[in-house]
Amino acid sequence: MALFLVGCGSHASFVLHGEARQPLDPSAKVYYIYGPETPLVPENAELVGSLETNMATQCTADEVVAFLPDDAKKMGANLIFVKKIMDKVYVQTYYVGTIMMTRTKNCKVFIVDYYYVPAGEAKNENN
Amino acid sequence: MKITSLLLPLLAFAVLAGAAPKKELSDFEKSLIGGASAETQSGEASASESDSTGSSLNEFEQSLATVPSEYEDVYKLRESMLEAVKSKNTTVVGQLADELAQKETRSLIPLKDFESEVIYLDLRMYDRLLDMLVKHYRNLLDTTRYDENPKVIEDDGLFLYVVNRLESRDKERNVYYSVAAQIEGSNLSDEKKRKLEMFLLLRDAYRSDDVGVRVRDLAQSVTNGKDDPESRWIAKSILSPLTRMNMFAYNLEKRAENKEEIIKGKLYTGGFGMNLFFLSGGMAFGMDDLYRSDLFEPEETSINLEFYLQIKRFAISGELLASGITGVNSYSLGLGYVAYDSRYLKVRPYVGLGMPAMILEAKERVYGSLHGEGESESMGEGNSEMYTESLGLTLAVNVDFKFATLFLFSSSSKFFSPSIVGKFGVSYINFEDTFVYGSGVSPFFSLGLGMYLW
Repeated sequence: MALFLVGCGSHASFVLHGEARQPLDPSAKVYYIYGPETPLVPENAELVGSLETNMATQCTADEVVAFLPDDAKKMGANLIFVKKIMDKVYVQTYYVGTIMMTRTKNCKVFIVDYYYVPAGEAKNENN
Repeated sequence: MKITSLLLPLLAFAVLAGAAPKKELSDFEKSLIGGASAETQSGEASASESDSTGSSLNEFEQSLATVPSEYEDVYKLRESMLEAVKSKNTTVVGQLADELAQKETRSLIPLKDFESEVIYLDLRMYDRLLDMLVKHYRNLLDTTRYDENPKVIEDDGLFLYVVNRLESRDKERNVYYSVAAQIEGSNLSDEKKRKLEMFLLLRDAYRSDDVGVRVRDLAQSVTNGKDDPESRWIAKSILSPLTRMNMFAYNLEKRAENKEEIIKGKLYTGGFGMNLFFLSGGMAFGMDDLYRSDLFEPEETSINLEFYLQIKRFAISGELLASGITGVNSYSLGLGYVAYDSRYLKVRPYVGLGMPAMILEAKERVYGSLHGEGESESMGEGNSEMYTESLGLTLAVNVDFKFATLFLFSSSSKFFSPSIVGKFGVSYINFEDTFVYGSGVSPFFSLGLGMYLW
């Protein structure tokens, strides 16, 4: 179902879980789990935060997919659990002179959780 | 472009985790499953892949003739399983399932989970089904359990039976809804019934909002049970992500959860406050002859208020306040310091410098001049005048009882605190005006309501 929203602000909605983490190295590998296919997360994954992407800054799926890994690493996460992808209509308002204009576009909004999986610890567990 | 196709290249271990065993894995990938192991995707998903094999009976018959000798015993067990399933002999089915499980190696999967699921559902073997589903989901993210391309049996009668059974299912609804009545009527305990419902619905938890809510509630009830061995895992791996599906609600929940910590962190940081005082009183010393009471009647002002801006522990304030002298109000600017701040109480002493003012109404026509010198002033009967040739110095303390602290609209860091406020202090007042003259000290108090935005 498409929702009709007026966009405002430029930051994604992010709720941090607990203390902020150190950002990961930009070259760090980030993994995805797609909830509709795999409806659970690893037991040893540590929740970093939850995010709803912002249509104003990431509208298309390509833009979101390009944004998420970098954002996750900045938050100290190396695992992205994609829980929901919604179709929404983004309404942008702007002025031409004194005339207010609106422009709409169809966007994808992702709801994801960021996790950090401590590779070293898990490796020891496996051993 | 479809979303799934965009994500697929990125779902390196997750999406394909159940479909088939994978490559050698990195330490990180191994870490994701924390030492567990993985087998296969849920039944329907795997079965749909299997559909593409397009098995026909002839092909199937041909395949039987080319059974590799090393798997012969597995094929025989599966053939016996098929016969037991058709004869609905649950005891034998259980025994054969155990035997097949023992044949499992890193390179061989004798009985896939979706096959077990179909069989157990058909034969109403719900205890075994539940155990199988727990094991399935426990291992779902483990891509290290098998070698690359292990042998799976997809060319025998049992496989064909399972595929046919899957094809006969209602694909629009989760299988649970087709068997709910049977499960409810079974001899499983209520706890196991709820747990089985949760695991059967789980595959659709992120495909349907309603199912997601149901799975969340079921997971909640399962984790509330103290004795469930999977409680911790279910809470962390299944329940936790489902509690954060609505970001707005989650945000509200999180900020409520962290409210006390946020308040604690914001004490002594500053804000803006406004106080309205409704009750004032006090005493005066040394100002008995401040004005001629036989000639004038003082007028009370009804507004007593204070604004203040707090920056860290310091506050600058402006106030219009009654003193302890009837009819005398003080307009002053103050500099305060927050000596104590807490969840409910704030104490802010301050020094104020200002201009006391007094409004007098003449009872009759009066004449006079300051010190009896200079130009004479007159005032008609019934006229009022404000006298402000004065100086006031105030030492006081504000005590705010913040009886509530609420988040300011949708903010997660700004607060609104309605308060009961009290002001206690002493003022030195000096008037030097024609009809008001004198100085003295006035202890005073004011009580009222305030609000503080911080």
